[in-house]
Amino acid sequence: MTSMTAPPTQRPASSAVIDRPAVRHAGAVLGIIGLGVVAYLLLTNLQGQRGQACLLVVLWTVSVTGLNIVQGLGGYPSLAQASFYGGGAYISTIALHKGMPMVLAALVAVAAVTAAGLVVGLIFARTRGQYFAIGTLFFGAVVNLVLNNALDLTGGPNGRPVDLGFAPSTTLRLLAASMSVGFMLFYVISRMKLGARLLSIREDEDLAEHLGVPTARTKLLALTLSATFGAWAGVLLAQYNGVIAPSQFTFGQSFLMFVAIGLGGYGRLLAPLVGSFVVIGLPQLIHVGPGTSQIAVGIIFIVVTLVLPGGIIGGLSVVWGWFRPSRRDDPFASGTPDQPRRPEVTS
Amino acid sequence: MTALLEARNLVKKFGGVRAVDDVSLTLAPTSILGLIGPNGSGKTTLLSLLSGTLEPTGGTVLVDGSSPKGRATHRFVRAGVARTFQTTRLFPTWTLLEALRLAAGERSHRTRGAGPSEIADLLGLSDVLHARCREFTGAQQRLSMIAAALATSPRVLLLDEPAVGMDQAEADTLGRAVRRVREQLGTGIVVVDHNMHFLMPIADTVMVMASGSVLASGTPAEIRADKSVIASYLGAVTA
Amino acid sequence: MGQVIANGIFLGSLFAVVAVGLTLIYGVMEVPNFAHSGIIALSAYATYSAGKHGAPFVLAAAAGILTGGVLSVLTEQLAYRWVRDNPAAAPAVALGLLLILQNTALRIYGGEGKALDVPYSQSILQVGGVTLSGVKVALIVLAAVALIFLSLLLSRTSLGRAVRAVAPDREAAALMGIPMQRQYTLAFLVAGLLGGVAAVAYAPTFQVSPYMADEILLSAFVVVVLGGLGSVLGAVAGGLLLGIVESLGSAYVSASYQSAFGFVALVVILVARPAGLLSSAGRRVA
Repeated sequence: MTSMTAPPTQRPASSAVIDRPAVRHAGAVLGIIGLGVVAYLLLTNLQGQRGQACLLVVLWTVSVTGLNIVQGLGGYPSLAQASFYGGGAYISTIALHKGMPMVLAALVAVAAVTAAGLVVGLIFARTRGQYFAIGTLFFGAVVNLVLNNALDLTGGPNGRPVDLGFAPSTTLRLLAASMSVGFMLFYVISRMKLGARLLSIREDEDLAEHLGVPTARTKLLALTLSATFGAWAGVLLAQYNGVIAPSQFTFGQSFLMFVAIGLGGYGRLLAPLVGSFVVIGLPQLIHVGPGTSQIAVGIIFIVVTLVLPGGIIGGLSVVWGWFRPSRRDDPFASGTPDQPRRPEVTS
Repeated sequence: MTALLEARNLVKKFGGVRAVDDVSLTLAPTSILGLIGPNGSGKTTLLSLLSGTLEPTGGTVLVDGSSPKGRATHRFVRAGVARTFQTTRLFPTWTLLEALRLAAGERSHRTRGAGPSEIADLLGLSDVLHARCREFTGAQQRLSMIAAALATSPRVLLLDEPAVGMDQAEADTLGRAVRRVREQLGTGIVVVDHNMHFLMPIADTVMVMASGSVLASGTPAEIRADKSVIASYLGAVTA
Repeated sequence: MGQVIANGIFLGSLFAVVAVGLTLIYGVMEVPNFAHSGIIALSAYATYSAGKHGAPFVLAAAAGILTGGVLSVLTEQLAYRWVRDNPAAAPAVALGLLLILQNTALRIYGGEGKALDVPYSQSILQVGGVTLSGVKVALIVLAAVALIFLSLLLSRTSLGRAVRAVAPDREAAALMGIPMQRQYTLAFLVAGLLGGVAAVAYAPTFQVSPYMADEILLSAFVVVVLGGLGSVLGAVAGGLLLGIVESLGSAYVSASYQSAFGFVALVVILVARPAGLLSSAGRRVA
């Protein structure tokens, strides 16, 4: 994983093999595939509470990786991710129940939620910072209202059962694969023009606009992509869980997905995994009651926000930087390991 | 020959205040226009109207004879207008090269302009191309903002008090850099500044603003000799 | 129709009291205070607890209002003060605080909704064809008293002048020598007390639960966008307007989707004016 948390090196003079882009990319791809394999082994071998925790962490990682685009790279607090997640779960379930084949139901759900993300984006992408947070938060609340009240379709507050579409073993395979594919997509996106544009918006939106970055369109695209990831995770959640209810998709859940990014480290590839583990995995493993674990998450989150702007991964990479004599010759690496990794911008 | 940049009857109101009141100007290709005036006279607001940062209450801005499509600021950049800010710095955690590449990547496809290293050369920033922007000195910050604006391949460059806080030697270096930009890239430039020693030698035309309107306009020599300008502004500065 | 308007005024008064607190805090510190909803819930629980232990209602209500003020100041002292110069981190801190506050309530009192009984629970006010329960009338009265008191405070005292100067321009206020720390604390104190008032007045019409104020908070944020930042009058007018809109939607379209009409209002505003109704777009560079 070292190649993923290393600070960027732009110096052509550097001759270390690991700094060659092709080598670095290959390392990242292998690491991502390796993570998927590990996830699959854990999913198929862990039982009971641990199995449940592992499953939730993988599901959340897929959904939160989408959020990592708009919130992590772009710095825009989207508080609607749980509703995209829920949208994927509910729409695929309803479509399956109406007699669609599972694959089609999943496609319909992902397409419909992506379209919803596009609409939300069209409305709120032109707004700045905190209006965006309030707008997406409210959208999430309205979606939850619908889930609770459209009894015929959603079953209301008690939820509804999910027909079996994928065989359980297929769902597990899809889960592990989705996590890897999600990471891969994020890795590519963060290195494309879209990634650089989002990072420039996170740094200074006004300045980005004045350097020609179409900020509203960029935010729109990022939010739409985040909806796609969330929807697909929701499809898998419904298939695995067998029952879905509005309480799984409240704006409290959206908050927690937001928190997961901040804990992991904004815009870092593995932030969704680390953040989801702390936010949703640990409370499953440590039995202290739901209230207490959430209080702990809240405190940890505030402390990380205040003390570690690069999140847990950022903090770890600072520590890692102390033990790397090979980088001492680089005057700009030593002072900046806490900074988020940035793609090389290709012109 | 159409003007590179033309403003017709620009008006900008903030609440009841007319910050810019019926201002028209034209900028010829490869010329440098200096904008002076006391604080609050509307110079920066005018610059913001020309760059699309602010939307005018009335009047139009034409780039190459046509107005940029859409209201978003980045449309002005695509149309060939770039600007700097008095206080804004480049993205602190980025290297200068990264910022220049981002800006260069946003050019419209038809324009071909100077590359990052050429721009850095022009402004004397080659040594810090790989340094992070937050490590720059004040003068380097201002030059790097100009570099980023140039990376968008503008036909018109708007500079908002680029020499503020610089000593005379730094201001002279900046002045030479601005002239090199005009000569080598053919960019038309509008400069707002208080530093007459910096502005007067490089400007082809100087426009004096007061209370949102144009008080006088002419060559630097004409402006120096203009009695109303001396009375209201220059006198105060040189005294 | 009169009935619907009366209900709208009830809702609107509630929104206004919550929104004024939000707008004060946003005005001085650019924090979208999501934690406000947790403070309201804990204030309601404080009143509930005091009542359970035999305190007379007036005392219990005072305890609840005071709890709101104290908790709000604590959030500022312990958390928000560290992000004063970094508004981008404010939503994260606000959400962390909300998690802590709501789950503290959940931990102590459990998730079951509790009824808050007040002496005027059974009374009903009837004017013409309009019927309003005593608890709703009490909320309108309490909200009006609190807001009148607040606007007197803001218009008559030097502290009020300072808060008003801070809201439009923090830097200018600092340059003018207005002691900023006191203004932050004061804004949070006033917002918290208003949150307490909202809690004590609203809980009897609904229930006491950790999440009792979540939907109200959302509507209150719409009011903040609607009425303009730092404007008490704007918040009151916006609150009443939104209350009546939601009440109309609830009566004539669907009661289940009451707060969704607030969302529609927000969408309409932000589509027309992406930077909010009374924005000062471009202030930064102008």
